[in-house]
Formats: sequence, C-alpha cells, structure tokens
Amino acid sequence: MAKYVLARVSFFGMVILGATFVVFLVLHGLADPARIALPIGSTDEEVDTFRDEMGLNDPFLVQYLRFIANALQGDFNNSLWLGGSNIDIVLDRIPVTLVLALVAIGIAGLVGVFLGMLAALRAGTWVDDVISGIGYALTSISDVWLSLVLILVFAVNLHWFATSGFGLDPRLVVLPVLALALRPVGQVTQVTRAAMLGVSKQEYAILARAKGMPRLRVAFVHLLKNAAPPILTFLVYEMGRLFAGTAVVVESIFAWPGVGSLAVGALERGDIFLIQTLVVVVAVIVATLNLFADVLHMILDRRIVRQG
Amino acid sequence: MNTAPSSASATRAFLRDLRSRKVALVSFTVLLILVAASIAVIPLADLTAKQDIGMRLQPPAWLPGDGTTWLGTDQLGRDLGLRLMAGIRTSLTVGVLAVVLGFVLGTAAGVCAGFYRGWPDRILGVTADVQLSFPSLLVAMLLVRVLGGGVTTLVLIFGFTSWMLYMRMARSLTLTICQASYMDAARAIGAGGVRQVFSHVLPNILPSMVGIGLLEIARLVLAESSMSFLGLGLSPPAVSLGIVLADGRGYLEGAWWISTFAGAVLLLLVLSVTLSGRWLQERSDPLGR
Repeated sequence: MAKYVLARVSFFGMVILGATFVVFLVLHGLADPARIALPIGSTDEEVDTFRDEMGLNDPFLVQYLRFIANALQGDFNNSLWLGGSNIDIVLDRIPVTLVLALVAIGIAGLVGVFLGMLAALRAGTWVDDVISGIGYALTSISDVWLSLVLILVFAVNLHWFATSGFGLDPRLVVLPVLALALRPVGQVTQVTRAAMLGVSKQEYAILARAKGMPRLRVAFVHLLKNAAPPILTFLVYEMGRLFAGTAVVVESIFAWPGVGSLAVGALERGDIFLIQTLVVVVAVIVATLNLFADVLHMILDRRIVRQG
Repeated sequence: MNTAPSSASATRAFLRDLRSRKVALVSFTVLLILVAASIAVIPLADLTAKQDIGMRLQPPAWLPGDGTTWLGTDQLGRDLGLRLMAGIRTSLTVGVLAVVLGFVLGTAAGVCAGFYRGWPDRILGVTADVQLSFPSLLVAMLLVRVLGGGVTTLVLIFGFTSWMLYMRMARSLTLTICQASYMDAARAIGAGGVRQVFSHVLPNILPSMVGIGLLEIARLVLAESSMSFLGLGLSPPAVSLGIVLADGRGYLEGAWWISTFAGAVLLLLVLSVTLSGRWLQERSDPLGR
C-alpha cells in the first residue's frame, strides 16, 4: 500500500516536472522568448534589454532550475499582459472553470448514465439503436459548432438566453454549460452502456435473474453497483479533460473569465511567464484529478472484490 | 489464428461483413463521397478562392433571398460549398498524416516494449503515461504559437502527442502474440528478433489497429478545427473547416449559413469516420473492445 502511494506520488511529480520542462523547452529552446513576449516591431535593442532584465541570457538549465525554485515558493513572476502576480491571476480564474466543469460533468453523469442504462436494458431494440446513435452523434460534434449553434438557435433567434457573458443567472449560465456537457453526455452514455452490458453477463447477475428477481431490481441493485467503478472513474478523468480542453473553446466563445480563455489570451499576446504559470497550474489540477480517479478506482474495486 | 488468411478470402469476408452492417455501409459511403468531393475541387482552386465583394453574404439559392450559389457565400463573396469541400481536404490531410506519424512512432515503441520487455518497456511505459497526463491542447496551442501554424507543424505536433495510444495497444497485442506457439516455433528454427517482429508480430497486430487509427483521425480533425477556430492552428490563406467556422462567427445574426454548414459538414465527416472506425475496430477485435 505504501509502495503504491509512493509510486503514485512520484508519478505525480514526474508529470508536473515533465509538463513544465516541455513548456520551458518549447518557449526557451525552440524560439526566442524575448521575441515572443515583445510586440512585433520591437528593435533589437529593446529585445536585448528585455533579455537582460528577465534573465533570459542565462543558460537553459539555470533558468529552468530558477523557475522551479521560485515556483516552489509560490513566485511565478508577473504578467506582461495584465500586470500583477501570475499565480494570483490564474488562481482567481480557476473557480469559474471549476464551476463550469463540475456542473457539466454532473449533467453528463446524470443524463449519460440514465441513457446508457436504458440502452443496455433494451439492448438490441430500436431504443438501443436510437440512444447509441445519439451517443455517437454527440461525441462527433465539434464543441465550437455546438456552442455557435446553441447561440444561434436559443439566443439569437429565440431570445431565451444571452449570446455571451458571465454571471450566475440562468440567462448566462445555461448555454455554456450545455455546450460543455453535451459531448460528455454522449461519452458517458457509451461507457455506461458498455459497462452495464459487461456486468450483466457475470454470474451473479444471471443467478439473480434465475432466482426470479425482476429485471429492474437486478439492474439497480446488482449491475449498477458493479458497473459504477468504470463509470465514476471515467467521469473524473473526463472532468480533467474538460478542464484542459473543451473549456478553452467554450470560455472563449461565451466570454467566461476562466482558465481557458486566459490561456488563449496569454498565448495570443505571448505572455511567456503567464503561459508557464498556466501550464503548471493546469497540469497540477489535471494530475490531481487523474490521481483521484485512480484512487477511486482502487477503492471501489476493492469493495467490489470483498463483497463478491 | 496462426497464419494470416489469404487475401482473396479476406476480401470476400470483408465484403460480406460490410453488407450485413448497414450502418457501417452508409458511413463508409458517406466518407467516400466526402473524400471524392474534396478531391474533385482541386482543379477548381482558383474558383474556390475567388472573392467577389458584390456577391458577399448571399444565402443559399434554396432559401428566400437573392442567392445563386448552392450553400451561399461568405463575407468575401467566396462560394461556401467549394470552400467547405476544400476544407474537408485540408482537415483530413492533417488528420491522416498525423495519425500515420503517431501510428508509426507508437507501434514501433509498443512492439519494442512488448517484445523486449525489461528496461525499454518500463521507460517507454512511464514516458507514455506521463505524456498522457499532459494538458495536450494547451501544449499543442503553445507549439503552434511558437513554431507558427501550418499543415506540417500541426501534423508533427499531433503526431508526437498522440503516439501513446498506439504504443499501449501495440504493446498489449505484442504481448499476446509473443505467447503464441508459432513464435516459439520461429525461434526454434533460428529466426532472429527482427525477423520475428516483421514476419510474425507485425502482420498479426496491424489489422487490429486500423480501427483505432480511424477513430484518432476523427479526434484530430475535431482538434484541428477547434485550434484553427481560436486562431492557433491553421490560418488563412489555408482553408479548413475550423477556419470557415471562425469566418462565420461574426455573422451569426445575419449570414448564419457560414458557420452552420461548416459545422454540419464537419459533423458529417467526423461521424462517418467514427462509425467506420468503430466498425473496423469491432470487427478486428473478437472481444469487441
């Protein structure tokens, strides 16, 4: 047990170090970071001055180790674009993305599990075909297009919601959450259906049916309990993927001040220090979620094995 | 499954399976049509890019209004239909080339890991797992920002960030194959490592991995369009479905057809690739994984 924890924690560390090293390598090794950070028309003098001031003339490893040392003390330098401490800027934005991702995963979990179970219980019938078809269609939709179409239909034409903007009232929240949640709904449906079908072939399920237990009761009491681990762990992994992926697009289109839109802004403006900070923070969050998913899987699996 | 089936009976089996799965048939057909259309417009490159301000923002001919083109025109008067078909070509090119690159890298790594085990297996495994935990969209966008966009850059970026999936699959398939008796037989008659791999391992694992390749093409086509939409992927004068989506974003209230049709075509493309890939995957893996 202790060995496992040690292995996971060191893996966590490797992921963070690996991600930051790659970003550092890209920013400082593949290009001139000063040129990226400064506006296009800057003179060579301005670029050199900038390099001196920011310590960009030091050897690569020195810069990297300095970055790590500072990071461990919570110092991530200041933003060239927004001014102010990078870590504060990023941390300020996390709650927005977190709320978005949590609600989206919640919806995806509820709707997806329901649809997946329905498809599994009615496997082979038209209900299954329709639901599976919807599942495939949802996972094949572009997040960009989904967001734009939602805006077009529900905001521009029906005027039910605002076209963009952040706030906690329904007019501003519903569309972004839907845009983020619909693809995961498709994926959760597929995962649930597969998991349910998988466990329904197990001996305890067949035995329960043979004893005369009604199908629905079998489904909820036995199947769902045992199908839950892969579904739950998938939900947690997916939340990490949403955070670092889809949220970027949705936040940009709906103008939500979260981590995703911050990343796009920082990249556009070449704010190298903010970019470095963002990668560290996002990597930590995603790695933590993955770690949580792994531990969850371990705990749930043990309980299932013990109960038999 | 000790020897690969002869190609004639394999083709016959393939066609029989195909006929009996209507959905797969439809999706393969749609995919072929889209690919054919995207190739057919290659000689029309001038017409595709032709701007005509007098014709800008015209609705499709079949909608009320004074439109004359099949799907309407965009903000510079270009024919939307032609642009979308060219866009399919670009998006698919990026997807296919990136998958080929990732496939080659990943399969090589996976076969190495599965065949030789020991240190190569552990190092490759940890590297793959660590890289799988990276926020890949952010890293990809960063690379585009630093190296500049363009088809080549995107293919390289996607290829080097997607090899892990193929590595895992190739590794697990190789491990299974290596336990088969014909591998012992090959070794017994003196086949060296390289011969074992190329004559026995690869021919048996490759068919199972084609389905995954198609699914990855679908994923990368979507990734490219998101990145290009955000301005961190391909950019004009290139044409991709993501670029057209971006073109139409400012005209949702007026010329809604630009983004709507771009995304619809994208959906059609991705869905047909996904369903085809899923069918191939199910067919090649007896456990339906």
